[in-house]
Amino acid sequence: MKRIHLFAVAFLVLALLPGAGHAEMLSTLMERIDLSGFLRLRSWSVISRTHVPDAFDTRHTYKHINYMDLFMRNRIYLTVIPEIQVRTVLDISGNFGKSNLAIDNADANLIARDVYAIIRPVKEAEISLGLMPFSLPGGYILARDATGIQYTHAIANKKAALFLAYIKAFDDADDSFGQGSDVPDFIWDDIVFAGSRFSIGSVFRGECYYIYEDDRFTTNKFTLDTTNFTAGLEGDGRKGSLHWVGFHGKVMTGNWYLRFGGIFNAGSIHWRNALYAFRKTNILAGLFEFETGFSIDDLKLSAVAEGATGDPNNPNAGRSFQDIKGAHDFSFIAVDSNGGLALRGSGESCWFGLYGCGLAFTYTLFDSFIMDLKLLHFGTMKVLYWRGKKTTWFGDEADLGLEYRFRNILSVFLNAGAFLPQRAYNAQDNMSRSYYGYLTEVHYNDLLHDIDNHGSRSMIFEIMLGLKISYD
Amino acid sequence: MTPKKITAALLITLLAIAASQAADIRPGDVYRDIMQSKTLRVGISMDYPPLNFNAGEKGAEIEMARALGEFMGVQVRMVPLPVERYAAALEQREVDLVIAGFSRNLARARSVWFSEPYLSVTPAVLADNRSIPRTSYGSEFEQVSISTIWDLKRLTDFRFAVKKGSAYEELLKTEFPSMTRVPVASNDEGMDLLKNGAVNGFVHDSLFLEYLYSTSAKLRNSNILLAGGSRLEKICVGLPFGDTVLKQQVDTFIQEILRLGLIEQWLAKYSAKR
Repeated sequence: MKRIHLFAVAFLVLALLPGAGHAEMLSTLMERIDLSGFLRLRSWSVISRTHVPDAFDTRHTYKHINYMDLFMRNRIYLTVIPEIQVRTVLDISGNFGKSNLAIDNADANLIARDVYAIIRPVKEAEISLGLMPFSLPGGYILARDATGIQYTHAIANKKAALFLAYIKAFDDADDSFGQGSDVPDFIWDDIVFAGSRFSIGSVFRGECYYIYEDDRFTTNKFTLDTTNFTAGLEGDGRKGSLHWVGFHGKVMTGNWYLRFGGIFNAGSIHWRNALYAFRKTNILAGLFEFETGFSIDDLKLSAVAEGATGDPNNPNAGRSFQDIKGAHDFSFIAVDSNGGLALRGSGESCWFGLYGCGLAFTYTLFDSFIMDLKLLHFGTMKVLYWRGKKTTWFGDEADLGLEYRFRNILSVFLNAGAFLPQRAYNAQDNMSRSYYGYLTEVHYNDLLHDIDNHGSRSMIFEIMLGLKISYD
Repeated sequence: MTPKKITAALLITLLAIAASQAADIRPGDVYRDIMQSKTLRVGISMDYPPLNFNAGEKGAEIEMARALGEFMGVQVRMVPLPVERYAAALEQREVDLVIAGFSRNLARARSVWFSEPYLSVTPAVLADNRSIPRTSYGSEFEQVSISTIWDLKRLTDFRFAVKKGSAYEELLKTEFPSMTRVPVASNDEGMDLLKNGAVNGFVHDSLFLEYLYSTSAKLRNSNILLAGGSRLEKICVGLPFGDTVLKQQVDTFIQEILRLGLIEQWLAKYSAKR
């Protein structure tokens, strides 16, 4: 072969080799990526003439709020080597409302929800490290977008596992931090979390844990804005030292099922009053959950109850104690964190405590639809007064859910709920409004409406039609 | 017995073994028998929707077996077999090949040959809703989700029902050694145990469980389907060890039905049927 031919062949081989190499590498990489997620679209219509904080002011006639939400979750799990996996969860979300009363009007976001690594140095051990939500088994979210490290170690032939976590949570961190503002003394919460998961036989599963939270996001630094002639203090003005102890159990035998749990919460917080002085408040609160049920052929019947004491001693405790949780789809209206209305007290209005109990039925209709029906009663843990009468009756709710699923891919669902407020709802609503420090014209009108309309116990309705497409 | 006689006996034995091995691996033997008898004996499963309904009444693999017979120009005789008999039936020449959701693995490959794969599935679990810890909180927040069988490793216990002799029984032994296994003889038995709460989940392949899940709202009501993950099971035609001619023909047939999209068509046709 002539030399020129050899050069030509060598050039071609060299030119092709890197491309082939990249393609092979890409193919190997793709095999190690696990993609999953879903696209969900929901359309809401909520109707009320009873005051609902952040949604309905008071009116003599029924008002509507109509809006849609869009949510796309993308989970990308990359197995770098069998012992190390990198996981990210990216969400695209948006709310599109027709009314300025719509909850979170016309807002769209791309959110990196979780970015963390899971490392398994030996078979029994797992370390997760990065940005992820930390929640308690009962569904209470301890820290939403928090960075942390968690170590889990399996023992007793994997029938039990011990875990230990350290979390740094950034509560309302100042986005101008270091840019035009003084550096706050403390900018995060430190949370230490230790516990155990275990099984007894194959019937009982349990989990117990202890948590210490050192809430340090605060500062007393004085600031002076010479342009606007204003002065103040930086930070959210709150620090705390809180302890949590929890136990959750689940018993399953045959078609009978029992789930129960409790979280005890104690400690103290310092909150800053209107004069920028710190005041100490002790926290002593608790939460319980209970569900028992059985199934007969197509019918599942359960008795459910959940409740939280709140902290009746001081509304300024804010969210430093266990609130009745909405994270478990307990109801559509009174206790809900799945969109639509959530009457559940939060922040300054949840200190009176709330419980709910009732019956839940699940039935398969025409071998096509899954039907859920819930009948719930809600009451406050603290006795309230409404127009001179004692009351704890917050209200009653009926929820109906219908779902049609096509394979594991498509789900079309309709949820409808009706809540009938009672005296304690009117009373707590009025109390939450009494915290206004001054009266603007709007507030004054609200108070007038209170006189006219807050005695109203008109039914609150919520209807949601949704569609979810899952992929994996 | 003299040393000479012993040596002769050993030689005869070795030759006999060698001759029998040679008979097993002689290329074209099985293929020639099929063409001479004008009949292809296909081992099929007892019931494996959507691949096979009621021991050969209909299904994607039944269509595939008929199409293979048509390609070879012979009649097809279906022979229903329990899963633990697939390899033995091939070794003992009771069937010429097996089309029965037969997944390839090293243990089986010692005694039978496998064609090119015509389907990929993943191990899956149809699990009781109540036995899976909740990982989503509200409409946005979720902790490490449980969506595949591998995610169950994070639990301290789980009771699996699994078919005896299936590839998944071995998978549970090696990957979930500390968890409880309940071997069952049939799919119906596994599903009954799940329905009665005697087990937390029934393990099978993703194709079969997706079929059950998609055709029964009752199952969707009480259960969650955990499927996917990076480990794939390759479904192949089981072939007698050593017949290269038959293997070549079956491989060509599979490559062509994949190229023509016939597998997808047959699966789509039977995936919604009960």
